[in-house]
This record gives sequence, C-alpha cells and structure tokens, in this order.
Amino acid sequence: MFLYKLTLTPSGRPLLFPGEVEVVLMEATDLEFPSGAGGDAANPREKLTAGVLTLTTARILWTSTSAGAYFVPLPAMRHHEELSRGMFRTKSPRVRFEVFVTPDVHPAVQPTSATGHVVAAFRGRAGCDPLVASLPGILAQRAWTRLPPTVWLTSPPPTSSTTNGTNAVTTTTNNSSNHNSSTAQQPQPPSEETATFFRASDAGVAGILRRQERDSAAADRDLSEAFADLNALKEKASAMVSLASKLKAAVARSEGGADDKRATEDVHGWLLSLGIDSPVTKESAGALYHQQLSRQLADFLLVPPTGDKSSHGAPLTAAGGMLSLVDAWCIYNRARGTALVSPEDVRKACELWPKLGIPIVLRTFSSGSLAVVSGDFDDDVVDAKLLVLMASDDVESARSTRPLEEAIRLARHAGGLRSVGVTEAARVLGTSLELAREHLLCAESRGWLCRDDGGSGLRFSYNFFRDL
Amino acid sequence: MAAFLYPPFYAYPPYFTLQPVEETRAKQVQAWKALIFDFCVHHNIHTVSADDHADGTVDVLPDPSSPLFVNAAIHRALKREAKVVFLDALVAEGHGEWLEADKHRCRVFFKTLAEYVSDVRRWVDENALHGSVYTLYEMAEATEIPDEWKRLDRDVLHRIFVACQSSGVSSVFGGENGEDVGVKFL
Amino acid sequence: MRRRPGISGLQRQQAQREAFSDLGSVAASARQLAMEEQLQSFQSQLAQFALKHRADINSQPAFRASFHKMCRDIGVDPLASNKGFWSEALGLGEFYFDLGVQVAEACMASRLETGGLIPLDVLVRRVNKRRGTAVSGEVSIDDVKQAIGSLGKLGSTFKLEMVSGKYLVRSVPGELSPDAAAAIDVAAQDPDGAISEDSLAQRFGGGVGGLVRAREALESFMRDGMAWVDGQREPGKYWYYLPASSEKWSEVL
Repeated sequence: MFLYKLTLTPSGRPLLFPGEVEVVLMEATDLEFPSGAGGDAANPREKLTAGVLTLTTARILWTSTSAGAYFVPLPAMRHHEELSRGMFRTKSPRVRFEVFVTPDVHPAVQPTSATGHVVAAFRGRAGCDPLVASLPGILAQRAWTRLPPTVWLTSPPPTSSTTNGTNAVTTTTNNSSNHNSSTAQQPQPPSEETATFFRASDAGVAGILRRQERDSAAADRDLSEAFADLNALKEKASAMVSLASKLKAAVARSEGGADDKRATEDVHGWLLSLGIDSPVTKESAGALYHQQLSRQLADFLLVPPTGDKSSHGAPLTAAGGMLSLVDAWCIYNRARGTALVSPEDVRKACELWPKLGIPIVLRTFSSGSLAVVSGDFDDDVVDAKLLVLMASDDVESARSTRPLEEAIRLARHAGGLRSVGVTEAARVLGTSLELAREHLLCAESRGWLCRDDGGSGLRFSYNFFRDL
Repeated sequence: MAAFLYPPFYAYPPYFTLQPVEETRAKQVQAWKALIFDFCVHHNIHTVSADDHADGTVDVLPDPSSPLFVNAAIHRALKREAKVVFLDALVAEGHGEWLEADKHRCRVFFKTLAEYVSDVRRWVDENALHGSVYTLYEMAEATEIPDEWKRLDRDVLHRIFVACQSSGVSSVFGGENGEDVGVKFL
Repeated sequence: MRRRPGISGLQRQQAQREAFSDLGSVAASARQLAMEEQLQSFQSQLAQFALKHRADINSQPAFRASFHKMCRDIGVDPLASNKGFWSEALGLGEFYFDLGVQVAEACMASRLETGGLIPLDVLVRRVNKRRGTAVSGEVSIDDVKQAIGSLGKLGSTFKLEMVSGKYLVRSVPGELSPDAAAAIDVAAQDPDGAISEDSLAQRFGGGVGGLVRAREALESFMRDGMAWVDGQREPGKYWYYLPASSEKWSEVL
C-alpha cells in the first residue's frame, strides 16, 4: 500500500492541519508492507525503518530523518489489530492496519471495496501500548470531520496522469456541504482516482504561523494590536466565566440524580475547558477527561512496558511501590512526549482512583508532600527493613522482607547504637532520598526510631526507650 | 599539552573541608574522586600522595604550578584526612591501590586492573604472542607493544602483569638485585 | 462537545435568552444547548486570537506575563488542564509543562549541593542552560514562577519563599523558620553567602542565648543539607556557606 507524502515545516516538523492535535508519539517505529512493497509510490520499498509514528486527531504520521515523511488519514482506517507475538518473544510488538484503498492503492477517505495493509513494528521502550490504547478513542471521536472542509482534497496522486484542476473545484464544494454528516460522503470525481493531500494554501496558514513566530522573536515587535485583542478577549472570557460559575452553582445544588450524572460530567467538562476549578466531590466523578486520564495514568504506573528487554517493570513497581507525585508527573509527561498533562490534571486523576476502584492511593505525608502508593504497599515491611538496618550494616540482608517481630528482635538484640542516615535508608529501600526521609520520619512517629543528633546530618537509631 | 581545566567546584571553598553531613559529603567525594582521576590521566600521573609534607607543601607533583589538592587563588588546601577519604573512594572503584597499609601513597589506575588484564589477554591472543618473553625495558622499545602501555609508569606496568599472573595470562620473574623484570605471556 | 438532537431556531433563541436570565427555571437540555453554543462562540474567538497572537505569547515574555495577569483577573487558570481551551489554542501546555519538568529536574540535579533550597535567579540560569538553544529560547523569571506555581499543585513540595526581598525556590518539603530566614539574610551580606556562628549570634542579640539560637539554626541547615562547612576561612572556627544566600555559585551548585 502506498502512503501520502507528509509536508514538513522548514524545521522538519510535521505540518498539521488547523485544529489537528498530536496525541501519541511512538519512537523507533518501522512500517512494513505485507504485500511486498509500499510507502512512496515513486520509490516502493518492503519497509520503512527507524521513524517516529505520530497519532493525531486526523491522521497517522510517520517521519524519519532519511526515509521521508508520510501519512495515512484516519477516515481511511477500516480495522487495526495487535499481532500476536508468536513463538519468539524477542519480536517487537506489531499492529496491522487495514486501510480502504483507491484503485491505485492509496488510502481512500471513504469506504471502498478494496483494502490494503501496513504493519507498524514498535521497537521503542513503550511497545505498542500507548498507540493501541489511544487509537479507538481517537477513531470514535472522528475529530477530522470538524476540520475545515478543504483539508481532504481530491487530486490525482503524483504518479498518475489524469485531469486535476476541475476535479478539485467540484469536490471542494461537495465536501463543504457534506462535512458535517456522520459518514464522509465525498463524491467521486469523474476520474477514478481519489487521492488526497494537503492543499497548498492550508499549508500556507500553518506556514504563516511559524513565520510569525520567527518574526515575533525578532526585535521590536509592536504589540499594541496584541494588547487590544487581549482586552477584547478578556471581555468575552469574563462573560463565559460568570455563566459557567452560575452553572457550577446550579449543578452543585442539584447533584445526585442518575440523570444528572451526565449533565454533571458535561458541566465539569466545560469548567475544565475554561480553566475554572471544579473539585471532585463525593457525588461526582468530575470531567470525563479526568476519568480517562485516571485510568491511563494507572496503566502507565502499573503495567510493565512491553517490548523492552531492559525494563525493570512498571514504573511504580520498579520504585518499590511508592513514587513521589512530582516524580510520577515528570516521568509520565516524559513518556507522553507530547500533549503533556498539567499538574492539576494528574492530581485530579489520582484523586479519582478510589472511585474507579483502581489499586493505587494518593498519600499525604505529614510534611505535606504527596506520593502515589500501590495498594499493596505495607508500612510494616518498610519499618522491618529499617530496623534490620539498625542491627547491622548488611544492606543485602536488610533488603529482604521479613516479619516485623523478627526485625524488632534483631534490632533490640544488636544492642549497639548503630545510626542510619537518609542515604543508606534510600539504598536499602530502593527509593528516592526524599521518600527515604519520609519513611524514616514515619518510623520515628510510629515509635520505632529516634533521632540521633550527631551533627553529621539527619540520622536515626533504634528507639530503645520504647522497650523501657 | 593543553592546560588542565579545573571543574567549577574547585573554586568553592567548602569543597576543601571534609563535610560532616553524609549527603553533602557524598557529593563532595564524587566530585573530588572524578577530579583526581581526570587530573592524573591528563598529566599522566600514577601516584598520588595523601600526606601533608613537612616543608608545608601539600602536593608533590611534576608541575607545581598545576596543583591538585591546593587552590592558591582561594587560599584553600585539602588536609590529609580528606585526601584519604577521596582516594579510598577511588580505590573502592578499582581505580586505585594504596602502597602502604597506613595509606600514604596511592597508585592510580586509568583502567581497572581487571580491564587491563583483559586487554593484555586480548592482545596476546590477537597477536599470537603466546610464549613470548619481554623485559620491561624491551617493552619500552618494541613496536608491537601498544602505546597505551608504553605511557604507563613502570611500576604500574609491573603491577598489571602481576595481576595478569593471578589470572594465568602471564608470568612475571626477575626484578631482584637490579635485574630487570621479565614477563612471559602464556 | 456532545451533539444534541436538532432544536428549532425559535426554541434555541428562547433558550439562550433564558440561559442568561434565570438558569434555575430553564429545562436542562435547553440550558446545555445554550451553554454549548456560547462555548463554541468563545472557542472561535479564542482561536482567532490564537491565530494572530500565539506566536507573540510564545516568544514575548512581557506579553505572556500580561496574558497571565488577565487570566488571574477574570478567575481562570490557563494551565489548569491541557484539555482547556487556553492550552489547546495557545499551546501553553507544551511550553509550561515541559518547563515544569525541566524545573523539577534542575532542582533534583542540585539537591545534594543545595539541600533543595535555591535562589530563583540561579534556578532560572540553570534551566536556561539545560534548554540550550531550543526554538522556544530562553525562559524568563516569570515563566519559571508560573511553572513553580503549577508544580505546587503536586503537593506542598514545590514553593516559592521570599527572604529579604529575594525569591528562593524550595523543592523539598518543609518550611523556613524565622531564625533560618534570618540566617539566610545575614549570610547574604557576605559576598560568598557564608556566615559564622558568631555573626549569626550577634543577629540574635548576642550572649549565650544568641549563640544557642545560632547554633541550632546552623545545625538545622546542616541536617537539611542546606549548608557546607569551611574550616579554613578562619582558624579555629567553622564558617557555613548557604547556597540559598548567594548567586555567586550558580556554576558550582
């Protein structure tokens, strides 16, 4: 199957349609063409290697430094499936896409009788999970139907030779009247071909934006118009805010009925869109977005990344069952790469876990710091490890899990006043310095340890006083 | 040879005092350990003294204008206790060896002994030099001996071949009564 | 936005009027339709604004600051969610959340040297160094402050503190006691950001009482990893260098 060429900006980034949003970025992805050859019609190959696959709200993009840049429109997507790994676990995860194709084997944006295939092989850390998780939702949203109608423009593909100009005009008008219907009713032009690519003037809009950004950065830009526009925006925004606040109050009064659940979700969604705070309450689960994020985040934290031989497992498990919320936010955003989530989004997502029955808890320490903790985390296990560390400096021995009573006996028996600092505790517990410190302070407040003021930092030793 | 570029911490006075707080000291040790190593590699120095010397100098180095443990510009110098701690860290990593039990001089290895032994083994195999014999003096001139080894201090080279002996890669003999040390590659 | 079943033009106008007058008495579906239409209209206006001025927001720190002030004035937080209109239209998420991650990482990288308390200016310098010469260029102090405000939503770990008119960034849980703040202030008078027990004791009124307070304050800093000792500045005495008190060491720390 052949793909459409993707237009890039001068800096090599994909040129997106107005309103098109990148959702998921998958590095180290190859495209394989089961039929033997595909990709660029002018230069067909068996596979395209080492590229970045991006899922947007309208297309699947594939870019690389040396093999070109291509895309498949999402409306052409008929079916996708994750291929089973087969006998050899070393094979990278693969997803096969079945795509409606035109007679000249390019993706067709309306259902056709013929289909083609392309397989994406994911060699990156995250395997295929982020894509497979996001794709159904993106396909269901059909966001491409809200794009400007002229985005999908019919015009012959570069390799064929048919009439073009007139086709473009007719199809444009037809498109604009049909773009809101649920099935893309794009009539075929008189000639057979139904290739599509991004129109030059649309490229112009985005191109203008980027040029503007460069010019803006240049010295002495007159911002008076910008400030005037900002004031105008402020007026409208203000009106929106007061309207939304009234709605928020109305919803708060009437919350409870089953009918209202969706209405409440809607209101929370609007408040979210405007940037007005809408706290999660006992009754409501807040905006749908946060519910989705809550699940996505839980999956990220608990499910080991596939296809990565060197991984130590899921992030939360690898951290011993506890991660500071700041760390969780950082690594989640780093993993997403794009469409980053705000701290508040993540905080709200974490707060929804009990409601959604997800076995992770957001825990507050007395210092006010927050951590995400897996449901099976046991403080006694931590205390036991610390107590064993008080008995001897055998780090390996301290790392192994043992019952609390045994650990107490060992610490008591050791008799010595061995003191332990934050660094050592972190090493034994396999956690960050901050969390190790919190654990030591917790153990202190539970009475196991007492502080050791030796002047060489924060240190603790076994609290013999409790035995007296 | 290009001037040695001191890292930024070298200008921070507290780095010349051994920090009592564990976490802070950990950072200090890591910084000094790296500096000592880089300094020795740059100047091709193989032994570092941990002592404060009777005549008041604290460094005994080929080039007094390029000191290691003294920063005259900020009037700070490391004391023995600190130097021992930092050199101990280098030893723990396999990049150093004390010459005395009471820690006065520390030999610095640019690669760990294990790495050198494996280098020697590979070189012997690749050049089919099993059974060949050299004295250390001969090695300095022989073209088939890698340049890297020729730049090493004679004592360090001897030490490496002794280590190789323990791994069965070579056997070392001689060295008494002014005789040169000989190495037979097995 | 969810699509609602069709509704006649008259009904729609009616709903709109009522939506603005008395929400309580209007049927829920009409109310919702009115709201969605208003939101769509606002979103269009915002999109227009974005088309014209997104570049300005991303490249002009002063305009960016005015934008944030506007949001504060009307009671919205444009960084509350990357699903918000503001973020989507203006691409704020990529800028600020990326910056937030960089700020968190820069703080973490200097934890062992600073104990988690660092002057804001030093942090901004370090973050800009990490960013290199990215298209989005250098970030301003205001930008970093925004990012820290945003990070503050992740618990009380990240916050801005002010001591004698200068901003400090705290990236570990805890609080500055008044004595600790005084110590930072005294140390800030020294070009190296250093302080001795005696000089601090003077600030606390001298005598035994002053000395005890000074010692406690300094030991507390040591325990938290926020002070380095120097035994060679003055014979027989320790001097304490507080990274929070000086910008001189931004290269080192």
